[in-house]
Amino acid sequence: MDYFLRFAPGVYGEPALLGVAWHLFWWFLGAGLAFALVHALSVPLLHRRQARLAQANRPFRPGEVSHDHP
Amino acid sequence: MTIHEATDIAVVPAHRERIVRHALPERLFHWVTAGSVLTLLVTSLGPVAGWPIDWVPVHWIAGVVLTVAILFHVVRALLRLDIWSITPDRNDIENGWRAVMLTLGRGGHAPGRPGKYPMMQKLFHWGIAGWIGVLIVTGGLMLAKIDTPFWQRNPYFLSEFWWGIVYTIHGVFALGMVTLIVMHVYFALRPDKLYLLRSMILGWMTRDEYLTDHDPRRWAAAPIDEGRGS
Repeated sequence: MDYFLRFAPGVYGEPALLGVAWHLFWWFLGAGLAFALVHALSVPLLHRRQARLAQANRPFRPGEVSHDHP
Repeated sequence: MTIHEATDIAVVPAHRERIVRHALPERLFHWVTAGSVLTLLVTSLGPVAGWPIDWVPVHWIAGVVLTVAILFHVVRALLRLDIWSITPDRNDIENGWRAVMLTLGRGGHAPGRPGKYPMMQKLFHWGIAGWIGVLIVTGGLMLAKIDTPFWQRNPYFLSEFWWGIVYTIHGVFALGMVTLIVMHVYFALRPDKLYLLRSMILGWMTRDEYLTDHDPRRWAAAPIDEGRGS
């Protein structure tokens, strides 16, 4: 618990909660940077996949020849 | 074609025509909010890092500025802005579902274009609104522990236990703001969305950007001359 929270002796000597542990700052900063990295890497792949699948699911236009079923 | 449209085309090519995205009050609100949030973070984490600054007065004044700015935004949103443009609706859910299905290879139609704001932007707006709301409430309580020109401190306003809870909640949400700010800055700096950053600085986007990324049926934007002063 001491990893996440800060305590100090209270008026009767018992541990009193002071607040969150400030070194967690680096974890929160890292979470934001990790999100940005994962998003930046995955979005181009997802868009490419979505475009490919959308193209495959596109209904035939009048007069268009299907190459899947010659 | 109306005379107005004909005049626009004569002055600038239609695709370069400027569309109003954010009026001046919204841009001022955004940057005042950004400035006060960054000031709050620096004045809270700076002393932890050992910076010798008298952070308490700057911190609480920045908090009051943030609170006033948000009150201004809420009033303006209720009276002048279209609050539904930033609220997720059925179309957003449908488009989100289509995107998920397409990504999973289940087929179906491609998602449609959003209105003024995509669903993720809407969710981020309401998420950060609630997040800052928690910080304002807990920060407001903490004002009872400091002397200001307006009131004397009263540290017995809450018990030691409850002060610990208030400080912990404030701290957790303040650290969470770091994550949210990194995400926000990342999206603002993405090359494909730089026009959104420009629109938050200058207020406009081109007609091309409008028609490419937005559905005119869901967001009837005005050319900059018509939107001026709105």
